[in-house]
Amino acid sequence: MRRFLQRHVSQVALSPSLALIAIFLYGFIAYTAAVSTTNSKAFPRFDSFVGLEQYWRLFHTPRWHVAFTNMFLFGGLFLLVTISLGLVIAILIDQRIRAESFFRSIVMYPMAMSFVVTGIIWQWLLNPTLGIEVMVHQLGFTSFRLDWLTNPDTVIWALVVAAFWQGCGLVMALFLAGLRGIDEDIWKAAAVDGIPAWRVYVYIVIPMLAPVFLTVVVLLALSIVRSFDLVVALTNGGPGVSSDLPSVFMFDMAFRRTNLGLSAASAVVMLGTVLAILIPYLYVETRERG
Amino acid sequence: MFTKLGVLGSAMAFALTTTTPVFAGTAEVIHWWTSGGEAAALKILVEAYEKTGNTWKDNPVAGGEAARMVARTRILGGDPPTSMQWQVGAPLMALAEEGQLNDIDAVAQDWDKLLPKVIADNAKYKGKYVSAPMDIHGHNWLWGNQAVLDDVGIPMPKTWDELIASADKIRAKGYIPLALGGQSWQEIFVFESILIDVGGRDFLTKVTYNLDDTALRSPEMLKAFETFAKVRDLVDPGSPSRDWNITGGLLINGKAAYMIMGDWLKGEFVAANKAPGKDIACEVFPAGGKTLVFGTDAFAMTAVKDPATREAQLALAKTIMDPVVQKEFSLRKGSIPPRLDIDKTGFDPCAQIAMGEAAEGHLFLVPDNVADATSIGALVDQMTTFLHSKMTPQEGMTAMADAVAATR
Amino acid sequence: MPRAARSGWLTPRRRKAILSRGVLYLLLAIIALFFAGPLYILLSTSFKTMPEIQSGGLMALPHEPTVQPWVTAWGEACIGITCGGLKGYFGNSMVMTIPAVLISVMIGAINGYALAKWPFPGARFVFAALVAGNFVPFQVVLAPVAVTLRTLGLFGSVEGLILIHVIYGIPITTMLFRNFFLSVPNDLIKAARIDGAGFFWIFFRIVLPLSPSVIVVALILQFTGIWNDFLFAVSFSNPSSAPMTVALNNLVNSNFGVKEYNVHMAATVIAAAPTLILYILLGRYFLRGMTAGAVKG
Repeated sequence: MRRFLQRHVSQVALSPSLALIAIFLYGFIAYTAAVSTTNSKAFPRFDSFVGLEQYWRLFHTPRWHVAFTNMFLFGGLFLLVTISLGLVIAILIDQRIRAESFFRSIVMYPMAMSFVVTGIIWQWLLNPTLGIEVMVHQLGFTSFRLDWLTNPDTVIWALVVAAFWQGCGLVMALFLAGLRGIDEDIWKAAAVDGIPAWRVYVYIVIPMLAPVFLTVVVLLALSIVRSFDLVVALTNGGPGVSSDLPSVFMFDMAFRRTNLGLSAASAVVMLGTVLAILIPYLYVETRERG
Repeated sequence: MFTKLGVLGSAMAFALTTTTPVFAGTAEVIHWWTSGGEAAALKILVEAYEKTGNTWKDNPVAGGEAARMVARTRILGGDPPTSMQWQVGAPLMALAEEGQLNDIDAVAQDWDKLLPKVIADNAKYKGKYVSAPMDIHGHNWLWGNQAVLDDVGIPMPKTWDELIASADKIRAKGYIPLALGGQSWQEIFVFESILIDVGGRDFLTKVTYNLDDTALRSPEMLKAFETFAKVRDLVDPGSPSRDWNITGGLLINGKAAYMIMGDWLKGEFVAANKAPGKDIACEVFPAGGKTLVFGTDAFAMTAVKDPATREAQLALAKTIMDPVVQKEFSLRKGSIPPRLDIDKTGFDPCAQIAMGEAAEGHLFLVPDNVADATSIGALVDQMTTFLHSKMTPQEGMTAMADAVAATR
Repeated sequence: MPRAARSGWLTPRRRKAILSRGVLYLLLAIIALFFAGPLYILLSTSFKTMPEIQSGGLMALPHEPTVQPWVTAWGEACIGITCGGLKGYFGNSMVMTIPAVLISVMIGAINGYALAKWPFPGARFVFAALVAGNFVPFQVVLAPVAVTLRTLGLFGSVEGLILIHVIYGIPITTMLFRNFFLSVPNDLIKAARIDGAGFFWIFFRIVLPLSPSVIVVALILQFTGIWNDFLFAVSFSNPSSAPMTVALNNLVNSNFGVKEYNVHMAATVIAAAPTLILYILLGRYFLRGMTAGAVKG
């Protein structure tokens, strides 16, 4: 027994967590999948099996198509913007600037603020009759237009900007910390060889940040899947249903339209899609490092 | 508007101390009345309730969806609240069918006589009351800034044709014709009033209650979409996604001539020292449509077993229906009482109009509480999609009918 | 590592090599303006009176600044029928947040260490499963969580809420620690194992002392997440144990009530204050922590 424990100590240490995760994540995913095959309304009931009817209904709901497409559109843009600008800001702050802690804090503080209220501020700022557009007009640039929030074709950018504002701090901090950890010898060697700094970043430093990228991508992907407050506070899915996201759709179906079955079906489709993208990524990333 | 407090307060105390409770229990109540004005109204109910010897345990959860989510989770967790704010009609029946509600017939013997039939019918399950209605809020109100109307030189419109016809004059004077906030729950009030305008109450019933495919593809429906398409030009560019409170500011501050919004908007008038019915004109819209779309805030009674809690539940139902409580509550909330026997004195002119409509049987329960939630939801989604698109009325009508059909 | 020791790579030559100082500060100023813009509106609105807000000009500075919204948000605002502002909810939030944060960080540290430094066949799969399962939307697990808590007799209790936060925090903390520990040199651990040191001895004596930094990172992340959580808090607390987010939501999120934007803005800052203070206090360690994490391995 002792020998077994010693040999498998890491599995033993992990097992309580894994048991909990097996129940609270995978067990409940299975439960959700089961609910999605029923006609559950206000409460889950398993005596109303309807097979895949909810999925049929889901795929015939125009709003779901908008929400599902938006997940990729918003998610892709948000990942791209936040990772690239987060990295750039981290590199800028890493230039041994004055008042570093001031700049760091100003980028990080939005992370701590409830979006229920800061979402309203973004709503004001981006509204063409209240916010930035009016201010720029007052400065004399009357042809300036900023109608992202009110134009169904561009509203996704309004979500991206606000989500970036809130999520950039964490990304910047993770990258900045990664940069600080990089071996100083690399910079010395590069200086000796006369390699320009931007090339050192692109070819040496950024590849060394691979584990930070893994952490950042997973954390951002989680916030995309869970971004509920953002949409509700900023656009409430509008104009029309053009800025709907799966998380909002799911909540609406479950608690406003009392259709738990349909809500569960949308959760299963969303989860399946995210995992189809994420698992290959995790597989590659962990192999490189494991 | 809220002056005769002292007198009524003591009358209320008298009315309620005469009932002596058998048990004294605690009622834990989930509700979504969290803003200042709502809390002031709620205090009327709470104070009256505590005079019955029972205790009110307050459990506010802002936002109707969130509150209902919490209530449902509590029921699943085996710890239901004593009572909770819950819509009447279909949502209430869904709970009752699960065996999650107690009946309150012991204190509801005469409610059939006191309540409008539409409320009585929708607060009952299998002939027994399971919910007590606290107020009535009208939805299809047209509000007009009187100063703006005077400046333009037009009266309040009676129909959608008149409203649209007046838009050019309003714009010529530099005002926004219609203040509209861009969220589907705000826009549906506009759409519903157009449905009444083109086909009356019957047509509204066919479309929103029955979600009748023929009605959804009828010439009337096309006409409704044609009118609705014109709404795109009545609003300002800031309309989409804007909060109703900020939108209300446009009306109150004289930047816009009209707004269609539920009567809770009166709270904003009062906060801005504008008198409803005088500074801000009001009309159930379209006028003469014999239809006041309304929602009612009601308290459902959960299936608790403990005798003291059961008694607390009955006392709560009784307090909610107390005439003095109903009147004082609505005076603060901006609503009207569900009881038809409350006198109109003290209410503002708009509330008095609403009370007249209720008395004449013009109430029309909000479709959310009647129709299948998924189907009416699909209708709302297509309504708002149409408004913010360049779809033609024909395309909009077909898309709506198809989306509704897919939910069956 | 003290900064002076690293001055080698911070030579003026390198600094110049990237951007001129002027351009650098110009860019930073634009960035700061973008991030601080909403803060300006938040603060200026919180010092305005309601009539001033209603009359428009949301971007302008307050004409007649007032601190009343702050006083109201802190101690007078009505949340339901209880008019005591936010101040009564700090304690509830702390009682829930502190244990949940500490326990989930501790579990994450042990898990991450086990996965990174004591790998076993399938460790990669376990890690992937841990991260992937976390993508389940929390709105749909409310029902089974409620039933499970009911079975455990923990529904509506602070303990139940802590348990839920700990469980749903495990994937993130484990991921953080695992990715960090991968960069701790294996030689150190091999040497200790040859000397006969066990799993926990190495963890407490060698690995943990190397990683105060990542602990702080995990603490900050978890504190922010749990302090700001609304969904679990509103579903699984009861009125007497309701944390700050529930009160804040009740204060600011009414559907049909008149919105007192000035009070809402003040309340938002008040509710975020503990997290902001934590950032400022731990900010230095936050960065230094990650620094130690990526030392040459």
